[in-house]
Amino acid sequence: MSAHAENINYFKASKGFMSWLVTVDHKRIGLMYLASILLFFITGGVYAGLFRLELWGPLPGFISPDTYNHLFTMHGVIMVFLVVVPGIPGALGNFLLPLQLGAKDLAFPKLNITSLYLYWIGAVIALFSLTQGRADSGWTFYAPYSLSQNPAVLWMLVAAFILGFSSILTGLNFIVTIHKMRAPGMTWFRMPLFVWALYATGIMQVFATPVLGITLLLLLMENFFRIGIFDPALGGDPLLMQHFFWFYSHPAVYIIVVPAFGVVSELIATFSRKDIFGYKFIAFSSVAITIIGFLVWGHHMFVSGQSEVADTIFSFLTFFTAVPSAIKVFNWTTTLYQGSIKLTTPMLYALQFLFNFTIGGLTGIVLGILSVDIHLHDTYFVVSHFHYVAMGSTMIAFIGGIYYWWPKMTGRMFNETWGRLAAVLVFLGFNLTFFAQLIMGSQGSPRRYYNYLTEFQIYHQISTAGIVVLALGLFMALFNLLISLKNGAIAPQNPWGARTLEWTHAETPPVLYNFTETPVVTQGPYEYPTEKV
Amino acid sequence: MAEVTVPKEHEVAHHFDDLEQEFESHRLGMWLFIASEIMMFGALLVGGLLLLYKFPAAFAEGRAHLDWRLGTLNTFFLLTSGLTMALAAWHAQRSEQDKVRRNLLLSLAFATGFLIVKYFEYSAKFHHGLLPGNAFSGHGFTDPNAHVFFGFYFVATGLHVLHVLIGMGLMVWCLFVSRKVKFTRAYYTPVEQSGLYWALIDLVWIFLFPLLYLVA
Amino acid sequence: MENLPGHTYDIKVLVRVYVALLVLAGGMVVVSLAPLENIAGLDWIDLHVLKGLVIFGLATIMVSIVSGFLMGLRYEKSKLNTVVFLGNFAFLALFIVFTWADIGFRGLVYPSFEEQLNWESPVDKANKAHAGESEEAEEADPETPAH
Repeated sequence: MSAHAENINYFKASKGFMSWLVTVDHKRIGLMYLASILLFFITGGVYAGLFRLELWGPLPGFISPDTYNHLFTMHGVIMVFLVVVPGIPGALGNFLLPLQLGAKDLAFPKLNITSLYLYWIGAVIALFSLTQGRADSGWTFYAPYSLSQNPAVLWMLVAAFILGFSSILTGLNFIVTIHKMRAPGMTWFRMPLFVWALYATGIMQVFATPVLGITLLLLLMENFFRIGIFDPALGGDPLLMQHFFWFYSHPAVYIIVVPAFGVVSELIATFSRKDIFGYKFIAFSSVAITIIGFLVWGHHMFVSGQSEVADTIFSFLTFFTAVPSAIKVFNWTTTLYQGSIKLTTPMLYALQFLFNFTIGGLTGIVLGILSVDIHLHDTYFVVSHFHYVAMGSTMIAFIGGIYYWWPKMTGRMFNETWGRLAAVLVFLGFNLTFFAQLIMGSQGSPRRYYNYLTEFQIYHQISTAGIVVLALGLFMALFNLLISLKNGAIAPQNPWGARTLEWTHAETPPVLYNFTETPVVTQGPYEYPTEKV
Repeated sequence: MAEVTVPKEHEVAHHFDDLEQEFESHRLGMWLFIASEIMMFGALLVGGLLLLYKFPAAFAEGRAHLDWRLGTLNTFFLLTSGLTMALAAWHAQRSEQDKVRRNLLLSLAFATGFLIVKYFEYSAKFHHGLLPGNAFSGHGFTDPNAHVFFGFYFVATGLHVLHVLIGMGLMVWCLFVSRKVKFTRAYYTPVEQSGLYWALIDLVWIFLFPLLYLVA
Repeated sequence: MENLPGHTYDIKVLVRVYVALLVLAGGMVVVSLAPLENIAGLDWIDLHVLKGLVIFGLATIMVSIVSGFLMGLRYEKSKLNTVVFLGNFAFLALFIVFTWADIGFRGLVYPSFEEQLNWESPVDKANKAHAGESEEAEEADPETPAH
């Protein structure tokens, strides 16, 4: 490659469909992740829409109970393993990590494309399972139900195993990049908070995901060879399976939400035009959440027959997760205080995030209380709680991040008016859908049920109406972006006046190896020139 | 091919500044991968220990049907192949391509020895019907959960054997690389990395061997 | 030759490490084969457990030798890889301790459902099958000696 080719933007550096498929450029891989993830986000959303429509009335509607089980399983598996877990790291992380560090690429570009291919293979297998019957075990694959040799469930286990591998490789790549590839002058405390968040996420991906791998492998072995480790009919312990599963899946909740913390830190600092309040506290609270996240998995099992000793320990430890989360929320709020706030589209998503995450976090504390959890377990309260975190926090921050970095990725500005309108609709739709579920759950309506008591109908209807508004907002947001590709104004290098490297030193869109010359970092990521009023 | 291709000097990949950064990155990457492998095997062993705790009698009965002599022989094979892999890296640092290859072949031989012993062990289990779950047909057992031991035995050793095969694949890959690239004190990464991975297989076996063959 | 990556291997160390590992592995086997007779002053601990602890202790020493010398953790300037490696054991320790907090203490307050219901052990099944076979064989033998 000539020296010249390195200095033209990454879209034009090479052409053709194949040049994308064999690329090792982290920016292209990030965009391919983004496209795939959005596609599956729509797919998972369609599943959700279908069963929400069915729940409009209590009596059997247009889908059968079996189909209903299948639909919520598919919704769960797709949204967890194909959307929120790989979401922000895969799409935004891949694109931005080297740019924010001042590196030419991730440490292992070939490994990076491998993990994208593993993601695709996993996705194809997950879809292939549809032809093999109906997976209906829920995304948690609890034994012994998942041991009933349903071929669709088996394929789903294989898919989740492969997707886990993809996630491990991404996390590994990020950690090595952060340790070894920082630009000159980029000290640890000059890294943007998004990078810190990806670092914390990477630790969880590398250390927790393998346990999911072995869990799924043991479930497969149990299905095929009846090894008797999880199957109670053969002397196994089904609770052991839940321990294995949640040892991964609780940290996975943080794999889902910690990158969102990072995105929101960037958005709030940029649009308040202020140095973020308590940089080190936010950075270290990401790492603290990582560690604490490994200590609390048993709170998913309070009513499973787990020993009371374990219940008590896990309940106690669960409260500690609130500390780092609260530190973050306080710091973001303090950053807003006396900032020159610009209510751009990305900022609207960041503010929604603050609202939703506070509800999601506080309901989590409620659920961590042993005696209360006995009543709220497996009700819509739990459903609402984790949607406030996974959808209301993670996906909202993800969309905000996409809007924020869209000009850098594509070189085009989106329409601000439509963007804001969509953001407001998303906020209303989301809260309508899930606040209704919060109330319904607190009154004891159990989740995953096909039928329900008529007194809950009004909440179900509000919820279903909410999802229509939400879908409208999301599609509006999506089309706004897609239309900007053709009609949007050409984006300047730094439309938001941000201070991180991808805005200050990289062109829009960036050149093939990111920077025309390696940047030398001399200041922190959020040092704005102080303006005297 | 009339002529043997002459190994060339290694070139640093485009996105790294220098050899040291490249080497350190690869090493950290391999360690993180090993860390994830250890978590996977570790979780399995934790499961094994908890089963041992739940069903001590079943494990004692099951263990009596494993031959500690074969296990010890396999331990010897693995430790020796670990040594030859380290020797290969030592020779790679001294740019002795031929001796690198010789040691890689020796490691492959010991690994194959391990697999052969494993084959005999497995076929003995099949012969006596000491199989997981419903396939179990061994006789003379008294503990009703004795089959769980064999379920665990096959999963744990099976997964380990799979990793042995992957490790052997890496050795073969190193043999190919040694034809293309000249190893020097500054660049011996492929041998070093394969050696690290092979050491992981040793590590797992060092815990697996006592858990299955020795402790009751 | 200042910035050479990694450490330079030393064949003497490698050979010593190899010998030490063989000795320790032999030690594990010897301990496991040692007869379980009561040793004076050791009646406060179950000898099976003691044996297990000694064996796993030896295994831990072996693991630290392999990781320190063969895998080169000992020679690294940055202790990052060591932290990663020890991190593994920290997480695994958490995993086993907390899971044991469940499995080891069930049924302290409310009755636990540990009893295995509605199942037939494959071991019992196999035993019955063998008993049936040998009975059949005894009955069948005199009638069909040709077999």
